[in-house]
Amino acid sequence: MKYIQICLCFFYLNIYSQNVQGKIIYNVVLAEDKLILENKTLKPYYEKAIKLSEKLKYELIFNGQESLFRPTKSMDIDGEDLGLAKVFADCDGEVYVNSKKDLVLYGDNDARKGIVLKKEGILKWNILSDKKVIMGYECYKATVKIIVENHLKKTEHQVIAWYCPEIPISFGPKGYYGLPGLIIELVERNVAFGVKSINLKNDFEFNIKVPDGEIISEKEYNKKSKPSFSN
Amino acid sequence: MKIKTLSVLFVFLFMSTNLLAAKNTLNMKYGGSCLEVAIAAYDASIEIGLSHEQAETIAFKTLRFCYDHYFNQ
Repeated sequence: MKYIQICLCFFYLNIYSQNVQGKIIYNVVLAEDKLILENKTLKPYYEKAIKLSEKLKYELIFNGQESLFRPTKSMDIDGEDLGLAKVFADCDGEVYVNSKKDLVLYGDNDARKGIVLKKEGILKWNILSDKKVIMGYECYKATVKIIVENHLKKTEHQVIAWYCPEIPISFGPKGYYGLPGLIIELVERNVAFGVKSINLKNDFEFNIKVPDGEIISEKEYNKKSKPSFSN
Repeated sequence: MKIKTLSVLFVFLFMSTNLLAAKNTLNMKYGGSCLEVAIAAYDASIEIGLSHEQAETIAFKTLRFCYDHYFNQ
């Protein structure tokens, strides 16, 4: 029965999401992270980033099968300082998603000017029956395992998403997509994104563009770029 | 001519002292020069298991943040 409901939800989502455009605003919370705070070098910067994250907001705009997730423009007043919060939230540029093509692109940033990263692999969500009410919406829990690899180690962590089938939009923060409802809350390691406002409209169209720059995969980028800051 | 040279020297010395003081404050607060801090930030980020890409971005931001504070003090 549960699977029939999920299938119906995906079917409805497919028809509904083709016509809906909208803008979702997300707040960010940087939680205290023992690993970072125990590190002498990162500690002062992370503490600063935690404070700055209170001002940090992101917008998710979507139009049919495409979405763009990016920091809101109003934050530019504070410029570089908020940049510290953005990097610790691991999201200081645009994230483009085309759900039909299963394409996720990370726009360029200060560290890799002109390079757009293409994320590889499709997210394999584990849909659970846990539910909770967020902002008056009944939300369901889903998890996905993410593997982060650098030249020293490989770490695996779990990303938790709370999605809302009442809002049949399959997008969410930071390029996470593919659930039968809008992601209202997302927890990725020490970073949590939570919906602040929802604005769904049919009478205007957002112009969503693929980020400018040379598109390369994450693996290619890691191979190409020497660890420029490494000793 | 001598007065002009002396005044330039005085301004230079005054600025150097101020910059040195700012650098010392920064060194005390962040434990090294800005570049050293950025390198350490990169290494620390890698050590705690962040991706190379995020570690690089954190290093760039800490470098800029450090310089901004250095010249604003």
